[in-house]
Amino acid sequence: VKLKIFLLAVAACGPATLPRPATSVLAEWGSPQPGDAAPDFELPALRGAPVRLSSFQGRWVLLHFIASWCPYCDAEIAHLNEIAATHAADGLAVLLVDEREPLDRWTMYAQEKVSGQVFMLHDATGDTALRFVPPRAHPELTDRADAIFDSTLLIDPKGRIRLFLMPDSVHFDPTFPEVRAELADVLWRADRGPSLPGASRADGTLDAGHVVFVTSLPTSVAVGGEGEIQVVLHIAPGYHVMSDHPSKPNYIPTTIRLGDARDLAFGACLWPKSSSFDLGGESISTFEAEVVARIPVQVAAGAARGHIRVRGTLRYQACTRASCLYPFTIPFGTDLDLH
Amino acid sequence: VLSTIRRKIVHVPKEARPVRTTVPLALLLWSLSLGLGCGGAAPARTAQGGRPNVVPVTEAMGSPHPGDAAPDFQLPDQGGAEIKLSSLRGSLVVLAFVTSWCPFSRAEQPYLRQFANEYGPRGVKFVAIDIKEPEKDYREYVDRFAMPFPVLRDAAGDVALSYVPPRVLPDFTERYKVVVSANLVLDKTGTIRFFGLIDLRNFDAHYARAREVVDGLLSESGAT
Repeated sequence: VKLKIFLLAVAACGPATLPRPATSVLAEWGSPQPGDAAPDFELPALRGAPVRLSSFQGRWVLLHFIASWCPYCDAEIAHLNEIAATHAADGLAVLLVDEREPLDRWTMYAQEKVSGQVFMLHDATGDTALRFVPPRAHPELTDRADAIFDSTLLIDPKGRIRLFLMPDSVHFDPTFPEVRAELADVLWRADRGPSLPGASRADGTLDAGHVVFVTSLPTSVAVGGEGEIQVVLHIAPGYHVMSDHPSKPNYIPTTIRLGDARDLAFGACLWPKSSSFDLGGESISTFEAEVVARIPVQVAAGAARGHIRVRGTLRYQACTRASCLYPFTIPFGTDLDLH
Repeated sequence: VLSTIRRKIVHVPKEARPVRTTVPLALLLWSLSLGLGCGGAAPARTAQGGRPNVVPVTEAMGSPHPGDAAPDFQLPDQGGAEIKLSSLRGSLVVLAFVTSWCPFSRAEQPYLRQFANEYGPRGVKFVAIDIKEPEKDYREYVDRFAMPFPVLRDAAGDVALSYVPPRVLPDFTERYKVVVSANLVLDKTGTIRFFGLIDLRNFDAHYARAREVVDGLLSESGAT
């Protein structure tokens, strides 16, 4: 676990441009913003000692502000519990802060709805909320602490804000898709070890393991139903990988294998049309840039509802115009919600 | 590349994203709109940089939606008098759902009063419905905002529920909360002409959309 936490800390040194999904705070609203240090706080917890944010340095933190009356928050609680469970082994700390409710109401609500893996904190005065509210967010709310409701922050192991999301009633999605995608990216990088994707060798070429970066969005499938897992391969510029049906018998085809999961049956992977690469008069079948592979999935009628993480591997052989690298296999994970 | 993925995740079509503008511009537009004396008109831009907006209820969300008859009800007002919605036929009606616990609902109440003060003299009737609150919270609301129109107490939340379109915000388990801060405009026949749910990122605290509809209906009836 220590190693994993170390790797997570290394991964936090990641990309310079921080993600700003559509539900992000806007730069013109003012600080704090993604990239800023998260304001520190100490709040009483429903269980155990008071919790100080800075004590989580070295771990990723998911911070969410709620109140029991907030219907958006309420719809999200189950998904927050699930993220806490899924990523507990990765060292993710999930902090839920109740805003200015009577302690007994918050206690009752938390006991009924919040998993024991989540830190249940109480901001009785709204002072903590005020440290986080960007000054120009929701100017109509004169009671400024109110502007924090249903906000979500992902904080990196150095205590910097990676994501700062505010509720969007038009595109409301209680499953935290932006947070999941970000965590998937970060954890994937951690799995890769201290060298981040794109890290180049002295001569400017990439290691085979860094040519392809895999992401996979959460898939929602009904119990007893069918769905499709999408796995996206991001192939480094200047490189190609052999397609699923390479042009020569000795070329390594790109393949995806998903691990066994109870109650799930996977169909054959569907690959897009390959692109042809001109190898000096000879054209070979390859993939370049971004490729989406689709894997049909069937969920058994008796499967339990809930969240499943499926582990998989991608095997490929990457080449440049000049030379080919050794074939390589990388792990990835994909999330399924069975409903 | 990753940003492409994220766009796919959030299902926000590019054109649906509000156009960003700088805050000074928003403030300038806002102060202009006040300076020109547009009588309590809304700021031209929200903090998000877009137009103040609502989530318009559509036919796809289910009934009631614009074009339907507004579900009738009878509820007590702050003085204890029973008010029946259908008794207001013959007038344009602005119907606003309010609660004291929702910060957005609280924030828009002064503008609801302003709206009523401006349009009441032109024959528009205003009705607020306080949803499913204890008597104490209802009284507090009534005393705090001293509305010049009936504030009805929907103690069980049944009336609110009768206005919830079934296919919107399906993740809300307490369904009546879908209409918190929603407002409607009914024409003289009691037909819904406007039904807006709250758009949190482009919060229309000033009832700008409802005002536009009321203005349109007033000029329609003025022309006939």
